[in-house]
Amino acid sequence: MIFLFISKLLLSNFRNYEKTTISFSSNINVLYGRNGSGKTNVLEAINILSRGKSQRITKDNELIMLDKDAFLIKGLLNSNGYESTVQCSYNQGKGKKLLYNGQSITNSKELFSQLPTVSFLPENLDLIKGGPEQRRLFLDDILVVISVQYKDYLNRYSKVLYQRNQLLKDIRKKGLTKDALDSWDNQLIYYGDRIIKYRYKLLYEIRPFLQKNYVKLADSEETVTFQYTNTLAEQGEDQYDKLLLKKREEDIARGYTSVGPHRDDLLLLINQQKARSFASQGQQRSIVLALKLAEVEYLAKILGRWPILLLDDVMSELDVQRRMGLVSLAKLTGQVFLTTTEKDHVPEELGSATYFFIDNGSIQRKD
Amino acid sequence: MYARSIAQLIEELGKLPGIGPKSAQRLAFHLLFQSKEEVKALIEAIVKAKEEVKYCSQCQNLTDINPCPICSDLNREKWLLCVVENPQDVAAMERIREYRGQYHVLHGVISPMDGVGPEDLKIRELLQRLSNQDIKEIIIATNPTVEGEATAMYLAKLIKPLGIKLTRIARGLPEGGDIDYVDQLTLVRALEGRREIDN
Repeated sequence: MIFLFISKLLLSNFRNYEKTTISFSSNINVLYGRNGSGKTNVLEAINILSRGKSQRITKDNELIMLDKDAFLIKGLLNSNGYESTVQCSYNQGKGKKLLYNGQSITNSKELFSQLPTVSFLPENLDLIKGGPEQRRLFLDDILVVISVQYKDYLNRYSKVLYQRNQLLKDIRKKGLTKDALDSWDNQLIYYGDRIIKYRYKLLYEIRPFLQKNYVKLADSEETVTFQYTNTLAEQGEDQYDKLLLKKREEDIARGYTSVGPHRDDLLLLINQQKARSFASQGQQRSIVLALKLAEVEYLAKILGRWPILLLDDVMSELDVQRRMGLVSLAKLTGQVFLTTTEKDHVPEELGSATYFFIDNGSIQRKD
Repeated sequence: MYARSIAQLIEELGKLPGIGPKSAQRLAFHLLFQSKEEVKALIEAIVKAKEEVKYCSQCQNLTDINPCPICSDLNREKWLLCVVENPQDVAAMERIREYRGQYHVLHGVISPMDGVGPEDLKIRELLQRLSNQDIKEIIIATNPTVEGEATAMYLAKLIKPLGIKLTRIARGLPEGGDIDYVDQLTLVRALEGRREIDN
């Protein structure tokens, strides 16, 4: 396993950083400071180096410091002692440029496999209570960064779905012939079937990690597992094409495709009962943390290196026991970045953390 | 800002595909500084093309002679038909100088979100051709997009019962593209579209 960490980060005209270079520790880096001081911007910069784009916003020019016309993020990576650089620059006229060791990169997946990251945001804590789209996204986000094939299936599936739903509405409103659906159903089944298989395989692989992490976090022996709610199997019909045909009238009436991976869900279970209704708030948080750490371990297994863990303002949402649990588990993975408004939210007995005080675009390392 | 007739010219040019406001402005001024003869030649070319270009009664390609030169070429195979999305695809196929059969141009693909259904394409004309002519093989060469595939499937459903041999162009690695050079997406699609080696 390669031990990877970001040893240095340079930010120039990025968000509220005019020009800053920071040296990081290979273990836990705690960024603390008031709200709005720019803690999350540092995590965002690292995320951009990893994924080629921000997960917070869609327009790159919003990342540029006010009144400037270009930004630059540069990271110095250390993988088992070997140094390499990744760089992302954006210029209002020329657009975005990604470089790895000075070589231009067009496929952002290549970046990710060099510098994998896993982000944990406060809203992730609602994964169990929130809508099913969040849980599907949890699975899809992992799969698209490790499989070009899956990303292609998913893109094509959503295009076919979009066209099919439009056609369903047209059939209802304009009385088009229902046979027109055949040429779309064929592709829907082809891609949908493959998407589901990929998701099952992923879940099979992360299941052991989930249980192991939960036991450590919650310090209790409840069994935590999940079940993939497959809308196809749920309808008691194991043949996709027959089910689509059976649902055809209903779908036309609703103008929407009622079965398939876009309607599936991930049901989290504690002691074989639905975590959504039976787990306490604290238990739910432990489950989500355990699931996220399972993602970290799974990516490490696939990519041969520990992903960098970005924990954004998560500590304030957790009680003391869970803070301890999270940090001690995170310590066993790779490099960790953690933001917090309260420095003492990070359990001190852990030792190895390095602290950075952030104040309005300036960063001070506190050794 | 501009004289009314110039502004109007810019606006009309800006309606053309791929022409933004800046380009429209540049084209307008280019035309204004051209000689009267040059401008007239352009206008005549546009009007002539608009008046004379029609759909070929056979293949539905755009032509000014009916039937088009490809359909009336006696040296081409009459039994082989290649179905494409648009006239540009015919031009691309012709450039390779390998294909010696007939064409049929659909003028689009099925796309509900753009309001395009089978009845908006030249499919009725295709079926008519199949009943009048002795076609033995049809190659469906729509693009490998989900819309192109849906159109191919729709056509397959109509044509299969007629007992005509039906093929679909392959997709995958480009010729001369070394495996370590092609992008990942091309490679996964080539892997997906793999076929058995028969000897």
